[in-house]
Amino acid sequence: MTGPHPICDGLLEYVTGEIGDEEREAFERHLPDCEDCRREIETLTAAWEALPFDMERIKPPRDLKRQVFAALDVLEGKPAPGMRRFAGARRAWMASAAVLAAAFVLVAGGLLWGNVADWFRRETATFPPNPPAAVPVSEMEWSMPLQPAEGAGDHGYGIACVVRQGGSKQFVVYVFGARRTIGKEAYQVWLVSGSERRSAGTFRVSDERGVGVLAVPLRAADPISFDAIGITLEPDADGFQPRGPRVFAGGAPPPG
Amino acid sequence: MRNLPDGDLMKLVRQRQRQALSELYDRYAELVYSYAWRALRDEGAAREIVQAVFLRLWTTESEYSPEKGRFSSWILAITRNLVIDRLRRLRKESARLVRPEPEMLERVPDRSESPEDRAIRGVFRRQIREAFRHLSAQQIQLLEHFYWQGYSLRELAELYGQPLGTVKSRLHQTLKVLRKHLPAEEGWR
Repeated sequence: MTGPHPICDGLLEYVTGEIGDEEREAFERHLPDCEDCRREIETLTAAWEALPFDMERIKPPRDLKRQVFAALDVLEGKPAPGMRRFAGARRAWMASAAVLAAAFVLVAGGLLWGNVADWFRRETATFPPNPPAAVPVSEMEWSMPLQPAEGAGDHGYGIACVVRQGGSKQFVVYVFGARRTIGKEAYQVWLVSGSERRSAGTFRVSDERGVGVLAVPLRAADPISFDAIGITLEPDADGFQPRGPRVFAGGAPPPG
Repeated sequence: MRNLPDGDLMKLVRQRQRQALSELYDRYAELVYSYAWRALRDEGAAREIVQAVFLRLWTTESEYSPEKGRFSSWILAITRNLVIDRLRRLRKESARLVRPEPEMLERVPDRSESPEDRAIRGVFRRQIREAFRHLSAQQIQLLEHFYWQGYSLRELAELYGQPLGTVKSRLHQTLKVLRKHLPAEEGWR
């Protein structure tokens, strides 16, 4: 569109950020030899960067800063101060599950807190949805069967899957025929990559049939990657490393 | 902290100094929030974007280098990416959730800012508005679609029924006209 090289055609994409990493690097490589592009970049960037000033300035709500730093606490693995306030084991469990869920979303490769917020917001939406088409179709994108782990008997089974619904995704684990948890006990789901184990979250089983569920929101664009899944029965829901016995497993057996 | 330039604060953020992030928040939360509000017209969504932007500053691998431009441009580029991801996701999710009509654009809640701030920002805004007067209605619409609503060039080519090359050269031309009528002012924030 400008300059003498075919690559100059990517100028607009370069200025507006609509360019892939590889193309950007190639474009930057040609710049020292292309005065036309250098000049155009300067002109277009100045206009591009002025565009956001066509807006009313609005003060953010006062409590937003506190919310951002509470989210930072969760991100850093510290229970947010607001969460400590709640008394009772169930609240504490929810807080630590939130911490682990947040950690998992991060580990899964990205950070778009909005998805988590969307998820919670969806929880409070009218049910059943009206009209029904207001909720996108759910589709299972990937799944991995889970069997009783070695030495855990032959009781029960499970499935781990990624469920896509419109633009959002959840990582979901179901187990059936699991022993009921007692007191603070919790099942913990581990993603195994090589010798590394990352917690994807915890759940309890209070159901007579031994049904347990874990659901963690994922960023739509992020692939989740691991070699195997293990589920352990832990003394509580607060662990960062497996302590209890492995009761379910799926995928390739973890080494060691 | 208060006297440190943005670039130095960002270096401290990379060393996990919360105070530095807090200072950057005080300097830029309003810009980010206003941007998100302008693009999304939803207080809850704008809050989430602000949160995501500042957490991204905390976790980002990419470096801010003052030589490459102003911090405000850098943080706005991050903001725009997050906003556009969200808009594209919403568009995919449901055709009912497209953005509000243009007449809503001026209906923004007026939260107070100091008269001085308002005056300075007012000048910038007037200047860009002034430059906009040299654009045609189609050019303004193109900027609205591309810059604020995050339609890709390809999507716009399809939407307008025009070849991609035409859309690109229209956008190019639009930005050039704007630049021509903007003062050579630095430090817009």
